[in-house]
Amino acid sequence: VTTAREIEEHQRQLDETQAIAHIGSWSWDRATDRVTFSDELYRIYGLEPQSVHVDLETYLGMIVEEDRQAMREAVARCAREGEAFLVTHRIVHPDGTTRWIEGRGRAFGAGRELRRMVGTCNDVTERQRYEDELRATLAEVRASRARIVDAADAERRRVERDLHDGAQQRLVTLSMSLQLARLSAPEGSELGPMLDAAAAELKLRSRSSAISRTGSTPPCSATAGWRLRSSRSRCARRSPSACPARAAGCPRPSRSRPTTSWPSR
Amino acid sequence: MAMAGTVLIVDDNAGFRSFAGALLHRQGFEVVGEAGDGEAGLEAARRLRPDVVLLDVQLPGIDGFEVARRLRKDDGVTKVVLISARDRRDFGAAVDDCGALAFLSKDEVSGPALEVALAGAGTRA
Repeated sequence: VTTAREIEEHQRQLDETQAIAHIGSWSWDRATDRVTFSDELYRIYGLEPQSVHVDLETYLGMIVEEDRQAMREAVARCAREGEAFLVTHRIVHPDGTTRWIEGRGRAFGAGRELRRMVGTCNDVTERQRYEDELRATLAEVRASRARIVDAADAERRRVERDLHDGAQQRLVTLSMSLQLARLSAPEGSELGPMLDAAAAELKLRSRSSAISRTGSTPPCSATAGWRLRSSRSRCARRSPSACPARAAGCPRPSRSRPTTSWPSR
Repeated sequence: MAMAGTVLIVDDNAGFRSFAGALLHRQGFEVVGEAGDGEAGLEAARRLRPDVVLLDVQLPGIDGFEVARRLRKDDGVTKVVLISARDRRDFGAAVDDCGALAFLSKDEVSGPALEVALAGAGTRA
């Protein structure tokens, strides 16, 4: 037999547990159509415990308008079909501050057989804030990674342009001036073979500096319409390890994408 | 030396135009004009009607491939030899698709090389 004192003790323990865990509970009884809130639930809603009478409409009225319909539908479905619910929603305290609440509920019986509904609410504002911060940080990390890749890419293009417009053009014009000098060298003079040797040496140097001939990014990926396939297979050929290249029907990749298929030298 | 033909040089590098012009002149070609970008190259080719256009692939504005395509569309007679400091393989099928007669690496440009290219036995693969 449970004595009144024991019931009181259980109630006290439940109140203390809810206060410690910051979880409030509610229940609705069909026979009496009465809604009860635990003390902690009042506190979660920013109210003095048991200070005001609550029913379903006053409960829904505390939820911000954008989230209200979702809760109304979840409660209706729970009553109709006995389906438990979890709805994360916002409420506004009497002092105007907005809090994020995780509301859970379940039914005993359903539809015509519905007898009771019970639920809990806990304040997840802090967690929500952390999640928002985490999402923002993640977005920033992603953006910053993209910026780093873009910056490295821009730098590589700049080096390529310098090599192409500077060093390579100079080598080409140097080669031509050697050929011109060769044409002017007197027949039979030792100048001719020397100029030939210089031209050959220059050709060798020019070929060995492959990067300035081909650029540090394959032009296929730098210009729309030129095939990625060609770019990939060139990468594969340059790769020191065996590297099969496949690219079928690829659209033009983003500027940062070709970087990932560039083999290390 | 008999003139091997008339040449128009289209390249955005003035140094290259000057040296290539001098070299080709010494080797029997008549350099009839120069241009520094695609649009000017097209205009000069239409006006001067050279035997061959020595055409850089990477140009400011429209690129060499597009200039070659437009020249082919014009009359289909003007011979185009593409030149680049880059490797031919970097451009894939674009070299053949644009209707150019041949492709020469810039450091290979010379009168004899141009004559070989014009004879159809050039580096066209």
